[in-house]
Amino acid sequence: MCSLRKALRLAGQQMGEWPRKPLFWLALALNLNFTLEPAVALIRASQLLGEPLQVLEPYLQMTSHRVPCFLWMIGLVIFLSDAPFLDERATYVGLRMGRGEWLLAQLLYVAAACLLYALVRLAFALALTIPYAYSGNLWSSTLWAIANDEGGIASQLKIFFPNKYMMTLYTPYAFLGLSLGLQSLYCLTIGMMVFALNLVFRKGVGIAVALCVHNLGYFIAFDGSVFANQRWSLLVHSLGCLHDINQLLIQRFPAFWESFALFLGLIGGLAALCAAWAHRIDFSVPYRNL
Amino acid sequence: MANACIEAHGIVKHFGRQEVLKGIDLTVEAGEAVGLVGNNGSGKSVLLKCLCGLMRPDQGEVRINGKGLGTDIQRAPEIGAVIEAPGFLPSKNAYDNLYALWVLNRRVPKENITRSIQTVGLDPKSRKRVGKYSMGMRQRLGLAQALMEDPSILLLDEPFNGLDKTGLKEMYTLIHGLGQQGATMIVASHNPGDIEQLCAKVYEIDAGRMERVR
Repeated sequence: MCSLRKALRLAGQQMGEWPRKPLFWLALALNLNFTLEPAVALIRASQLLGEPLQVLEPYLQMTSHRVPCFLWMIGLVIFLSDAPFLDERATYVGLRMGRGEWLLAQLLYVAAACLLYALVRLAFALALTIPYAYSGNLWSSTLWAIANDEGGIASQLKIFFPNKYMMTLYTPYAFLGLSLGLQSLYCLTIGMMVFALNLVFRKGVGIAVALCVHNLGYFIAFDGSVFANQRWSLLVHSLGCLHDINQLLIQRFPAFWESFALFLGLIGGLAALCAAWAHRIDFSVPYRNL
Repeated sequence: MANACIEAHGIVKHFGRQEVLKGIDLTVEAGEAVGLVGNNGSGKSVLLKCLCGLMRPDQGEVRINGKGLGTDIQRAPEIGAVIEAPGFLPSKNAYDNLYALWVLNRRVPKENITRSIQTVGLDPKSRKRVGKYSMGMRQRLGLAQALMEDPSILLLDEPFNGLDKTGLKEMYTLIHGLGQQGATMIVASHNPGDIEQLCAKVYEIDAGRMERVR
């Protein structure tokens, strides 16, 4: 019988060790660094144009563009690189928990790490933007000008919001819900990939595969508007603005429901792989010394 | 065998192509102290891990108090073990480390934490972090975690490693005392001298095969 309470206790203990892990600080620094630059760029653009900015817009803009998202995700992969989190202490933990409970604890831990990683980005972007922006649920004239590339402003400032159609469909807060959901699920998909493949194969396999999938997604997104089928890129599925793009291009861009279903399916599949492997988990040296 | 605490039949374990255990059979009765000797890498630790459920054998069966490990039960709460180098959270003190393990099950009263630390000669109120412990102190703390939940079976892997002369004597007295109190024990060591006084039955493991030498 799998005890959720025991699994939560172990996951909580592991999270309590974060401040003492160098990987945690490195991932946090990367997260903040790759949030800072795009947020500041949009704030500066607003000041340059002398137009107001909505408080969520820097976050929504950076989660709609492939480059900041590509770089930002690397921090999460680094943070989870010591998966499946088996160390010498795992021997003593293993004596007190069944394999199922231990696995559940690790899945909860990965989920918490991924969701917090996504939330830290939102929190930091908001902290940077609040002093310069309004909180009303209306798109700003700054982002509207960038989305329409009025007078080549987007090209000049190198800030892009590729889907003005989206601004007519959703309010900033509604679009935040969609963007945050997609980003969180993409984080969880990549995190589960690292954990599950490191557990089933060996340390390094999960990291390599996750980075390959992430990189491939980036390259598909790079020039994909013309040639590539954007549906093949997981990164594209995580970018809010590249959904429901317009009737002309809709065949090559995903709809929101498709991306949510894809991420949930992948996460479920990876969790099932871990569960199928659970009976073979050795609280043992081979994981430790790799 | 009605009184058998631990029964292992035909245990085989591979790591890749290497066969580490080649059909081990072992029976330990209640209250018995059994010694395992063998060189480093001979398979002692792997056997102990199979016996306490940390590792699944590729073939064979382990029964603890008559229940199949991995079939009837997923783990055996009556087993306390120190396997390989004792691993703890280096930033926490002895009490907090044992508390973090105790809280997972809460099977025994909390006072057992203090008592087990005192039993092995450490100070439960000490704020010294385990990261600053000597190997000997870690060994003692490893034994304390094994004793904490009042196990009826103890599996001790190289419990004398890293101990100085005084520590060795104290640990020896401690384990001997546990044996006198009726604990069922398997003690593994690469040094036959360590266990000859402790265990009535001694087996030698060499290249994955085991035979009784006393």
